[in-house]
Amino acid sequence: MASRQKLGVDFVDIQYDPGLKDKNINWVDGMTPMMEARAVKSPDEQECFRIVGAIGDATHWSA
Amino acid sequence: MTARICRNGILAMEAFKNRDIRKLMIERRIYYFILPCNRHRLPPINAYGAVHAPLGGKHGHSEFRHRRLDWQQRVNWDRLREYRIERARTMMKKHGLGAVLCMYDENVRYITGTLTPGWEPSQARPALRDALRRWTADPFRTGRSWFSRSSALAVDSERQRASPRSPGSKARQVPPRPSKSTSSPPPSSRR
Repeated sequence: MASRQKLGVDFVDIQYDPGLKDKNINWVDGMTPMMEARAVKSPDEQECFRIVGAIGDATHWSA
Repeated sequence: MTARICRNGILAMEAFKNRDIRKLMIERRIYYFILPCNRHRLPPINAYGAVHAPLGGKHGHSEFRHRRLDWQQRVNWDRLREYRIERARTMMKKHGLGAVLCMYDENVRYITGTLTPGWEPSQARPALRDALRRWTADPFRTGRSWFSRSSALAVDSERQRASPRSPGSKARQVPPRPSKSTSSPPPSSRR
């Protein structure tokens, strides 16, 4: 990296924090950007939702 | 041509036998399996098949078909992957992130398009799946850089660290394993 940029981490265990600090990594919350990215669905993803809705509907009926 | 237009097209093609249901089928915004429980939602041709001659056995077959077709696009997976990674890059750029390290399956799937098998213990997933997508470190980079540039497997990540093309800080912090670096050819020939 050209400059010291932040590293987004979506999940930090209790063992990760000392390790990242030893590496001198400036880590911040990475879950919020990923959640915001996943929030808006494209038309292709909406199509997948329709298909999986039909599959779930049929599964509930067959069960 | 979007998937919705294509679907309307194929529905219109299927409905040409019965002009009365064509409008209903074209305006449909939902899929159904051709089952007796969906009889009231299906056009008469398919409803007859749901009761008398189910093509897919007792579970019925689906209104969306499972095979690839040359006249119908359906879900464009390339476009979906490009949308997802561009979306992730946009949000990284918005939040000022240089890289993102993903542990959750949802995020790893969103970025890489791959999924760790569910029978793996959750504690072993970060060890198995290094999803530090270094090529997403540049949020301004665009274009098709999917599996050709980097893979989600940890072996490829180690090769990237060992490669001389990456003189960044991470390459110095994480020394490559000698067996990997000596046995594997330079990754520039692979990618």
